[in-house]
Amino acid sequence: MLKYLYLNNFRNYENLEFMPEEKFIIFTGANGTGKSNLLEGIYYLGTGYSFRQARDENLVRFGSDYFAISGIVSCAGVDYKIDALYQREKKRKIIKINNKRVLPGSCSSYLPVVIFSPQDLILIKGAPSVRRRFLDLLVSQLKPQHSKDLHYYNNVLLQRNKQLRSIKTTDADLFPWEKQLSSLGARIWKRRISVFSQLIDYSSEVFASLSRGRILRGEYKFQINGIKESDDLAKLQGLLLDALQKARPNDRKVKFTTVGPHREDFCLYLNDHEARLYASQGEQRLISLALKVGQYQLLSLEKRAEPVLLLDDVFSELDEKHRVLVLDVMKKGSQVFATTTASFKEEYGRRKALTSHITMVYPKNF
Amino acid sequence: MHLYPSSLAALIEALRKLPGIGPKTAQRLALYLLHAPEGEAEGLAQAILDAREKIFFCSVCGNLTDTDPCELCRDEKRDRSLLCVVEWPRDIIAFERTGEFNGVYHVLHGVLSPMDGIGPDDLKIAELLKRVSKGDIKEVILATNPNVEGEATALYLAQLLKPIVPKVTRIAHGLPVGGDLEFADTATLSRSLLGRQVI
Repeated sequence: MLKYLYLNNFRNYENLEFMPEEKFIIFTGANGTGKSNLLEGIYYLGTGYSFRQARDENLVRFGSDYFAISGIVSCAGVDYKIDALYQREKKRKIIKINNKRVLPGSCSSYLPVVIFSPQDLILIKGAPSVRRRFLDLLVSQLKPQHSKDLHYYNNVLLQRNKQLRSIKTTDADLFPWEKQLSSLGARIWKRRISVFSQLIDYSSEVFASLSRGRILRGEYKFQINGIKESDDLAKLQGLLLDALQKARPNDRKVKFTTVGPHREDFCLYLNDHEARLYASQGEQRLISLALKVGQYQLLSLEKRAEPVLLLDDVFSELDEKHRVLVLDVMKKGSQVFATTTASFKEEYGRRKALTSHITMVYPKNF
Repeated sequence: MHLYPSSLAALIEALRKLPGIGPKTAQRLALYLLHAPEGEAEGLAQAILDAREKIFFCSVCGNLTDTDPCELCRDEKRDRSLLCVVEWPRDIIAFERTGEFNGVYHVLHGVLSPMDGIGPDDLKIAELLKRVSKGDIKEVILATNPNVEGEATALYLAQLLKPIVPKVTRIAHGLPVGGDLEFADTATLSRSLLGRQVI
């Protein structure tokens, strides 16, 4: 749960400090006043990146050369201070928990965020990297070690790719990096597979209830043949090492690593047809919603930290039925931050000005 | 704006180039040296020049030394069949502090890192192979750091050394002494399980 937030030179905020007084807050105001930027700040604190596919340098307020976000989160009854700092000139990102520097992504289990936004559609339509990022975020939120393994995996990957670019690279030069990629990669696989199958279980149930019993299926797409989901770590490690070594001639030609968890994707099927290609816009929206609700439900099982819901303009995007679903989820007593341009009647709830353009509404009925 | 006379500014600039020294510390050190008792600044300058002139790398192990071969390599009591490979001279000092190791060392002067343009030819690997191929070495201990680059370097060396040395070992990874299981990350914990020993 987020107890305190401070935004400094982040997007349109030079200095903004606020403490949520109740669990459910709606930010209202005209377009372009910075409502979504607030959610983006909270999301950044919980993930280390923006949910709007924005680069870190684009998050810096115009005329400044850094941004800083601080927050106090409560997690299993204990308060933690999280700081995120980005310096544009040095291209340096520093994330701290209780003043101790940690790897980016380490915060995801302290402040597990779930965002519902009009952009969720790219989960279905977008590139594989979008889906990988979504899955890896959920895995990191559940299993803190995952973000570390990903970080090290990417470091080793950079080294192997750089090695591939040198002309006189021998197999012996590549081996040390491949060996490490395979042990880290096997662990990444193992966690992704188990979390993905749980996610699909929840999401297809949600989807069935939204669509009168239609069937949503999902499949994690390994790039390498012969992998079974039941394989143990040692087997996976062997398969990945083997695949990396077989890919050497091709990798040398294209000068990057063409196999491994960093190139994989998952595929969703609606009544056995690939959703990305055959589902309608409306169906795709429903599927992305089901995935997010699934993410939320999986996180709710975790006792340590309660998930924080961020609803970016969902009231205008969703029709009545889906609004009810989202509101249903919220009723469980989670912390919710929502934005909307709609205005509310006086009796809807207590209001308080956040900035000169944004008003906070605390709804009565939650 | 003119803050300092040029010779003082030059001193501050020179101090700033040292690792771990920022502008404020550089300024403080420079001003201290100006006010220091007679002979202290001269002593420092002389010490730097002396060290620069007299210290070089040992032709056998690559350690810092003022005699060649270095004291560790000349020590008759040391076991020459046991060779410990480290990244930097400072790692030798770390091992020597333990007093537990009675073999000899080899300093690589770095680790493999294609990102920084460092390949096998930039490290003292040819020297290591030459030393090992003379044949009196029974065991090589790979004591590079347990990070991505150190691990890669150890794996690379293991490939080269296994055919020519009876025994190639890697230092253990695991839990810090006096540590707490609860706070160990899973990578460290699983490594410590793999490296468990019979008691």
